[in-house]
Amino acid sequence: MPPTAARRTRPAVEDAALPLSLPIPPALPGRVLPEFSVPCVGAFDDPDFRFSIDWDGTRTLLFASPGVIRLQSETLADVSDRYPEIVAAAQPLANRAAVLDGVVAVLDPSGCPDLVALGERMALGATTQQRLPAVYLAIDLLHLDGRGTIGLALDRRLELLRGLALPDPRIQVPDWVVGEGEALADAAAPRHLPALLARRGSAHYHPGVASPDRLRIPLRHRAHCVVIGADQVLGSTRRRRLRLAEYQDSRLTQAGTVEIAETSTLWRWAAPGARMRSPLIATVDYRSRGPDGGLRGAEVVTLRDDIDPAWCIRRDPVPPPPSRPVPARGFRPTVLTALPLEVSPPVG
Amino acid sequence: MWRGAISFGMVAIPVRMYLANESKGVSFRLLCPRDGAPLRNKRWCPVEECEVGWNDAVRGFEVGKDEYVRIEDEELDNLPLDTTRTIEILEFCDDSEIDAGVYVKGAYYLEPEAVGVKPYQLLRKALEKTGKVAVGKVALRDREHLCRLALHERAILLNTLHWPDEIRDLGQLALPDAEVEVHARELDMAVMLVENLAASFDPARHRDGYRDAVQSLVEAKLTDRPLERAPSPPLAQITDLMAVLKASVEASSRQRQAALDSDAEPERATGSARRRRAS
Repeated sequence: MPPTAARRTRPAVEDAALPLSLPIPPALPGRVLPEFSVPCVGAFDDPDFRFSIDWDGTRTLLFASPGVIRLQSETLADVSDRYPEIVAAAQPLANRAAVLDGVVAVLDPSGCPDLVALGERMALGATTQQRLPAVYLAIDLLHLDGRGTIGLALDRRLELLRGLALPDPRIQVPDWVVGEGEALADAAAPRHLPALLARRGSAHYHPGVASPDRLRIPLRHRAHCVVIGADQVLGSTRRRRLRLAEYQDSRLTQAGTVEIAETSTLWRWAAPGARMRSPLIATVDYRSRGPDGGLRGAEVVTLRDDIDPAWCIRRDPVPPPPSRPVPARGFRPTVLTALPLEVSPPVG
Repeated sequence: MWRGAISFGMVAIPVRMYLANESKGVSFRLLCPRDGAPLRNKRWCPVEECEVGWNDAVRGFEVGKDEYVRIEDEELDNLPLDTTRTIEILEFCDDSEIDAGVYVKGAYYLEPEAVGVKPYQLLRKALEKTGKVAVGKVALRDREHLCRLALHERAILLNTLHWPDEIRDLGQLALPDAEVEVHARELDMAVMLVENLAASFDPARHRDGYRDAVQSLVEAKLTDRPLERAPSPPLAQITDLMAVLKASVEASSRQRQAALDSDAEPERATGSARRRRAS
């Protein structure tokens, strides 16, 4: 027998003798920091960019592999227990060993994400899933069939994401628009959507970095602030004033105050001894900013623990391309001050 | 439940008063977790460490810390008030002057006694003709109430009202002031939503869903059958919203293209004319 024929037959015999014939599940990354966005002054048109809505929700990465489906928040925490319906809906993805980047949202009947309802869902927990069902809005694909895709261009990743068969309405892939950011902003603003996301079609995914290829175009005045204290409102026994702060030049700076009622669901987050988790973040809508950058006319949209306080940054937005001098290689937050978190005890 | 007289001027109309509504809210009894026996509240004397019966307990008015003045039932019955057995009418006013939303507490029907039918009917007719309601005072359950007498179908309805000092000041609330900017477009949308849901009020259309659900739960437990779950509403699709947005973007794109074409058209026409002239 010629030697080449012997080489062909021997491995086949060894394979047949092996007791295990199951395929080894492809490895998934353990935890992945999501890519963050750089704030941009206003909407623009650019054929290189893919424009979508920056959906109101909680940024979440979905890891699906055989036997294990888990959800990871922006703070790298495992939040699978919070949204069991999404974990169940992602079962068909398990065979593809995929990691999706997206947003968990609670939709109103018109299909618009409702951040107030999501805040209530986060405060009350998974027991409210019947009344406040969560959906997963996938906007990017970071891993598929055991291979990382973050090195691929965004257009290719979106193509692969669209190619995934997702029959369950609890996992949805929202559409995007090529090039026409201004028209999308005009259409989205009257619907009170918070912001647009402009992503460069040829860009790779940059985990943990505010990427210049991912611009956030705000459609309303909204900010995420760190809650650094809670005081009783004078003259009212049932209202609390939350003191807010943002990072400015890497230092935690006072941003203003907002009031919430102790009767509100949100107070469950901040109530001493209840479910106080440090650090607490307040998402607020505000009317304007003062000369010192402080918030004017701020109102709480929701309180939450799913945002990394280091990303509660007050930062000047960059102008839109082509003249935009954005950081060439992205930036990471630098934190120089500790987080003074204090909640005064209830009176009486 | 209460017998007395409506009194105004020299007229006294003997009436009986009945509750106009009854509470059908869901109420639960507290049970012992081990044997399921219903728990009872005991009137407990902490000094003698013994139970005190309902009939043995006496009323006390707290005048200071651990300091009480004892009040007997007879003393309450003999209070120097005109309203212990009468509904004393003080004035007649327009119903719109009473802010019923915050003032009204309870509702009672007044039924005339046999000897009071004619003056009762007279008062009804007078209220009907003048379009006014009566405001008065009545003592019920150990306290005096402000009240309103108004027509209700064939009867006279008595509403107990809160005293003015019982109405809380709005100053305690963080209410929006006139400075909050409301855009005309937002207001139009809010008005449209209101108009979409506008209907005449028909109380028969509304049901207490919570009470029905608890009733179903109890019945299911009694018959040992699994509880039917309310069907979840279908999940909204984000794609529907994106489809609307994309359609808007495409329409805007078409408009822009049309504007560009119309701008280019005269230029082309001038150019071709020029070319024609040149040739």
